[in-house]
Amino acid sequence: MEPTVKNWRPDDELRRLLDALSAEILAAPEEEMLQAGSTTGRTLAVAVRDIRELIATANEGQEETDPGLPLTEARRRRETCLRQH
Amino acid sequence: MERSTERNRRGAGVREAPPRDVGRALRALSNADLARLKALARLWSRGLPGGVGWADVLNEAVMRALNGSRRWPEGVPLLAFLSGVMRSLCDEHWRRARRESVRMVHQDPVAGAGAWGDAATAPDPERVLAAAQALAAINRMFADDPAALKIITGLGEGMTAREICGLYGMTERDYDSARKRMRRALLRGGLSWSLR
Repeated sequence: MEPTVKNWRPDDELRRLLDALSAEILAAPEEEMLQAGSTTGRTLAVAVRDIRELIATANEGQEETDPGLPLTEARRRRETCLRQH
Repeated sequence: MERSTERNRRGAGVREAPPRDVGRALRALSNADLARLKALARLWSRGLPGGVGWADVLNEAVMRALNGSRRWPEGVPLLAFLSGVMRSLCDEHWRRARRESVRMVHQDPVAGAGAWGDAATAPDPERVLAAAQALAAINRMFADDPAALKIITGLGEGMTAREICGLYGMTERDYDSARKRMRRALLRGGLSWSLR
């Protein structure tokens, strides 16, 4: 049988791989995550502070959320919100 | 259909679970879990069109979880729930970008003639190309690790660990150590793979 290259769907393949990788991240040991958090160009403390700030910003903006809002528009709104602080 | 199902559930005495306190659970996350959350956001937002990044995706997922427009189901860990929300937000963003580009082509009197029906149902070429590039970059990252490459190929094809071991003649131990190497390498690199 001819290889099915013409039916190859890289988007489906990547989706399955990302599903598996997300499960890996969820299951990764704490120390591995702490190491990863501090080896991507920023210290862990800075990375963690950024996420906590992001969660706090989301907490403040939650009442304005429109479930149908595109992510590009959500980003614009978040940037406006961050400028106001 | 959904409404009648809902009525039946209520009629049968099935109560909806009360909203869970997402805010409190978020505040209680450890540093390791916050790093995990960021890693998940980076994973799902890779290559999104329109300049949307991981912080946008994470922010929107957290907002929707906090305001209840995405309900946190009982028995699901918070991070798994937020990961699912981010995954679906990114899917929706791709679909929206696709609709926009199809609409623009349709408005073009030359390029759009008869293209609407086919384009709306065909795979999104931009997403297919981005995925092919991402897969090529991931494969290149592990070019010197044949065991990791086998696992990546197998996972991409939707195979289980047992099936991958069976197909490639790997022991469970080989599989586990290659999987850990792969995970550490991806996390160390901040889940940022590129063709360059």
